[in-house]
Amino acid sequence: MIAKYLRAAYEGIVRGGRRTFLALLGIAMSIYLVLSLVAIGSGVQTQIKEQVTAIGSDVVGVSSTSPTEENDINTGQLLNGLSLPTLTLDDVAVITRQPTVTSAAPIRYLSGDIRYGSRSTSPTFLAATTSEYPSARGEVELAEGRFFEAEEQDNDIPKVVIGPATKDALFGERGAVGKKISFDERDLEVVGVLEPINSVSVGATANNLDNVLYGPPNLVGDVEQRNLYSLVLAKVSPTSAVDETAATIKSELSKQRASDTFIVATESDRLNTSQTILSVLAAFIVIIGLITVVISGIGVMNVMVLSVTERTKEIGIRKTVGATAKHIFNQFLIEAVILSALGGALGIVLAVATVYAVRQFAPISPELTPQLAGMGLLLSLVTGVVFGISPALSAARREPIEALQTDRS
Amino acid sequence: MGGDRQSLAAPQTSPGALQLEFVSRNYMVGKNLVKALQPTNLVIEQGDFVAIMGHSGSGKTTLLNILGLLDVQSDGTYSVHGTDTAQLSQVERARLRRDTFGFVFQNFNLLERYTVLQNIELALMYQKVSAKAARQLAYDLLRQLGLSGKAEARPHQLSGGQAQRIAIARALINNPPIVLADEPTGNLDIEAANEVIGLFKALHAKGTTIVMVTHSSEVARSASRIVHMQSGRVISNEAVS
Repeated sequence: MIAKYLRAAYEGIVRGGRRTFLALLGIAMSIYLVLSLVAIGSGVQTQIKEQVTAIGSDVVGVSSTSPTEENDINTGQLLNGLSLPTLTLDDVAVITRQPTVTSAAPIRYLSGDIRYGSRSTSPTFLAATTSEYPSARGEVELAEGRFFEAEEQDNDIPKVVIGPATKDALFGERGAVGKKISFDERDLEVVGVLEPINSVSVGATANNLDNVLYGPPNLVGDVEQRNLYSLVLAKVSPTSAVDETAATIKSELSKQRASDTFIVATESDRLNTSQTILSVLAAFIVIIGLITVVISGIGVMNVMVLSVTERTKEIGIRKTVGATAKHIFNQFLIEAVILSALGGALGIVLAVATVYAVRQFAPISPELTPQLAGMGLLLSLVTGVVFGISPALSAARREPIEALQTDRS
Repeated sequence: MGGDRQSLAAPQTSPGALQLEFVSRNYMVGKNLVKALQPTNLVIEQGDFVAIMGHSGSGKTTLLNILGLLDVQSDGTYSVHGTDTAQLSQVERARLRRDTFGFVFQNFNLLERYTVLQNIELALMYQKVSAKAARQLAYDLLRQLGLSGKAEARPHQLSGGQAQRIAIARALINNPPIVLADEPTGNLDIEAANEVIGLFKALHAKGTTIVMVTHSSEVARSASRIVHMQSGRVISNEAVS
């Protein structure tokens, strides 16, 4: 019987022509949208997680959280959504004094263009830090050159390390080490280039984590601002508990500054924050996707309602030759489900092609798993059932004699 | 599936009768009550060939629809082979209709999107018959009717006589004991009408009960009994001499 229903459904769909094809396309587009967004979102989520964890599970971050009244708020200080830099070298000293902390490096984010000849770029992170940064950060790998040394921090010409995207933007294929670049009308000397990291963006763009510059504290031109930082990274010794160290740092820092002016965060805290944001984003994506599925489902229902109306006489004839209401219901419901499933299958094919293309041409890796594709197909089937029930019921309830008297077959 | 199913041989189900006792049918048209069929008593025995005649609006098609379980009486008792149809569920009515009746209509009621062969097979879709067996049965029946060359044609490619013969084939593929025909020659020329009546005579000769609504006295004379209707009532029920 199922084979007979499938055959009838196939004939019904083929007969529907362009109208049915458009409904099928609607389902395909909605499933495609859902799968693509979820796949891309999932890929981005994984990469952000990798980047958060790349800082290291044994690194505690201390961030300043609120501006002080004495400081002006400007875009440079509020770079990348961070608060005004209010952490001082005294705070860094408190952190460094903790016996479980092996090293600590303060960071102050700046903004502006850096130049080499006629070329320029605006790094995603342009940071003033200390020579302790590599040891505090944990995993800083250099493609060429070295990080600046402690005794070089007060040099008139600050020695800096740049990211690979920054190097490409300024020097292309040529070597960067030893070259003089400029920032804020001051000369800087490149002493090292970082290895590339996994990044969600390409080129010297505003969110490429390979487009960075790290320099000493005297990158900050304003001497009064020079020893104020927005972040301190503290590496915890391998034998010590990170959470306990974070608690100790919080306790000790609270003795010399208000506890609501800084945040101490471990990797799990950072992950939780990013996961919370990404979860909201994922929920938003799913809601948008479901709305499109509902809209396309209404399209399927519309086509099926028209189909039932146009085939009223056929329903009468089928009932005359022995079809029960259940037979008619099944026939039209299966037709709606097959229509939706074909749309879902097309959507999956398009999503797979898109994921492939994105992987080829963009630095993100969307994750379209077989389970996700299966969910897409299931969603299309459910859409067919939900939006096919009403037209199928309408068809099943037609009285044979009334159906036969219509002029539509 | 026996080879007899697709032939014009006698039906295999046991003989029985259609019996109406005070059966009436009323409709509401707007606020007006229309008495399409006045309380009617009628018995049709297995093997009868009954012609129902009357003017338009006399209630003959209403009677035929009730006989074929396509419509439900407003009042009275209608029994098919002794089964009171009022006691049947929708599904049971559909099954009884499928197993008992074959329908032939004035306008053929063939599905334009299906081929001739598929139209005939349609009646087997709701039975436990494989697609392959259904195809074979339909083809054999088509061959007996001399229309095997039209198997893949669409209904609009057929003449009126051919289309009605296809409709008859569809009515017969279930091997029903009773064929109900509503003006089967109404849209046909004389030659095609004679072909159709010839088919009915052959079926009747082999034991199939035929109930046929017609306007034509000449066609009605092919039957063994003529029921005359007027204003929703049976006014005569006489054997053809």
